[in-house]
Amino acid sequence: MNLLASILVAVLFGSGIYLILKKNFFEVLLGTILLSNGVNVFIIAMSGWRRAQLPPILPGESDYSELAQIADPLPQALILTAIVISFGVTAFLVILLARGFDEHDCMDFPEQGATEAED
Amino acid sequence: MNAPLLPILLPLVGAIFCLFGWKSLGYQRVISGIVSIALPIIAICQLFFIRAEGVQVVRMGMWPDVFGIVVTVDLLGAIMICLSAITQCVSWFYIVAGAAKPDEERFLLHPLFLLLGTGVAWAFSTGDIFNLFVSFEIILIASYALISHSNEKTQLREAFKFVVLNVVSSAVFLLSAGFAYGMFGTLNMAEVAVRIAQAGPTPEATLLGTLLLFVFGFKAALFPMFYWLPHSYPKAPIGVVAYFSGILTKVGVYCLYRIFTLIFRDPVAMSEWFQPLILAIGGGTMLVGVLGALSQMTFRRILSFHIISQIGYMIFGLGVFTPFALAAGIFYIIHHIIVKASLFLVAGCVVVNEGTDNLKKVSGLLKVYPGLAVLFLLSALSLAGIPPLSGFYGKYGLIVEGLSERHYIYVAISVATGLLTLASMMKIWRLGFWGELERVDESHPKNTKVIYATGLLVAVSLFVAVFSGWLFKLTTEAADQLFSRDAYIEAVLGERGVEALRSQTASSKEVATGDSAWY
Repeated sequence: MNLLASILVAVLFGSGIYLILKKNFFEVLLGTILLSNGVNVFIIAMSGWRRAQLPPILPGESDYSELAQIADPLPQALILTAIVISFGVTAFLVILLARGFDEHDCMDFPEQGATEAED
Repeated sequence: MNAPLLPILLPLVGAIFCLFGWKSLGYQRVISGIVSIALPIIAICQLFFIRAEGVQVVRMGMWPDVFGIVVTVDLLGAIMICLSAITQCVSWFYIVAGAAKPDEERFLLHPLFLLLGTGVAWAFSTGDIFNLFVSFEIILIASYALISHSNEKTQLREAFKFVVLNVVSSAVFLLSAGFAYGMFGTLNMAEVAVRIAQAGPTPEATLLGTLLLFVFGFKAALFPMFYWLPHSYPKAPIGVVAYFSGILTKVGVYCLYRIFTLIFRDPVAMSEWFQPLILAIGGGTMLVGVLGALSQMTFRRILSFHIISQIGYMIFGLGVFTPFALAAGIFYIIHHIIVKASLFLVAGCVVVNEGTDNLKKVSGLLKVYPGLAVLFLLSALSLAGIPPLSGFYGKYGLIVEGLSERHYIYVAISVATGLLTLASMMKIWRLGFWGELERVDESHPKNTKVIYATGLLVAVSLFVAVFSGWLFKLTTEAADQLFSRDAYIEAVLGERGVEALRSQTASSKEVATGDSAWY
């Protein structure tokens, strides 16, 4: 399971970084989404797969003997926060992209030095 | 005592109330003004309180400290919160004096600015790595919105770059938070520090430290990761650009000071890997920043490159890593925030009154705005470190301590950087303020009120110069607190943490192996 998670994280990171290095804004946007998801999978993997057999809910009359097998709830809370944040940032990037496309017809990063010339 | 939460909650509540009346400019100004004026008062009271009473800790929901969120303010954090509040207050006066165009100001400028303040105060007072990540995201989202605020083409493009680069660094930050949790079973900084001290020099700790050095170095615009700053900061609205330049990169510097004094100070890893690395990065940052500044021709661009160069000094202080060097570094942070913000306010005054700050297009401003020229000269000479002004004391302390610790190359770089700083400040003075009067547009509307607001912050910087003895005593106390780290760990973890640290120095390897398989 750890091997699988490592491969998944590697693929997400690799393709995310490849897309971020592209020139087109839309591809860069997709790259940031892949990167954020890669990190989330990484955190789940760090939380320990082996003991996570039960959900983190104990019935009322529990004698806490299952405590060693329940999943650690904290990484899931971390990921939930991270997902919300990356959702907000992605939404903001989409709006920036749409604005840039609608009003300025701008979809690509400029060539090196073009920014200085415009100021 | 829940008082340490006040600097975080007050701007947050203010921002929410601003949003209720987002159509009315006067209403937003009043709400944001009340918050901005109350904040420095609260922050200064808090500083004196913490100086007298020691580190303050608030535990959310009374969870045990390993699980719950802790808000921890020590002297360094209280100093930084004070500086943030003062800069925010002056920026409010500056905005209200007319630095922002009315349309620009009406459209959410005040609530976004207050949210920025919330995130910054949170970052300065949290004791938990994941909360640090969340507060960075609040800062970043507010600054994304502010940088793309007036919807021009270049602004949108720079904002897009800024967002994407910061998404990458946030991803690495989250990665290191997950890594810290997986390796050490907690995200509480004091607890991580104790566990790393118990486990001894492990590769995991070094890797985590390097990852965090990358993340905070990126936020602080250190040498290989500075390229985003000079393009994006001049795009922020003029009213808030002083706060951007003064405070935001210093959040990264603060975090570096925090983690390298609290968590990653294992003697072996520190002296073999981190200290040479931090010194080299600091030296490179000083030199590259100032060389970049010499090549620029726009007022705000020159100043943006200077931010980078001066962050090098702060990192140099961290790299030398003695109590006196840390004290000088913290003093330098205080000086830098005030002076850098006031220089950006001067640049903003030129933009507001003349329509541009390109030094090829305006010159001879001394004849029209003598007061502004005096304010600029005071701040510029202070930035270069001319003796009676505030920049001298921090630089002097850093150089003396660097010499006594035999870091001769970096001392030489920092002296050279000081001279080049003076040269590029004199370039602004010579091209912008001296010479024949030359303007782009004679009929551009004039606004002298913004110059008075600028004067407020320059007065604060003179205050720093006059009371430098007292402030140096304060920063020495803050540095001692960072260096011994007992006070911080005892405040968060109680006696248990300090005892764990002490027993570690007596060296017990069994405890370390037993404890690392914690979760």
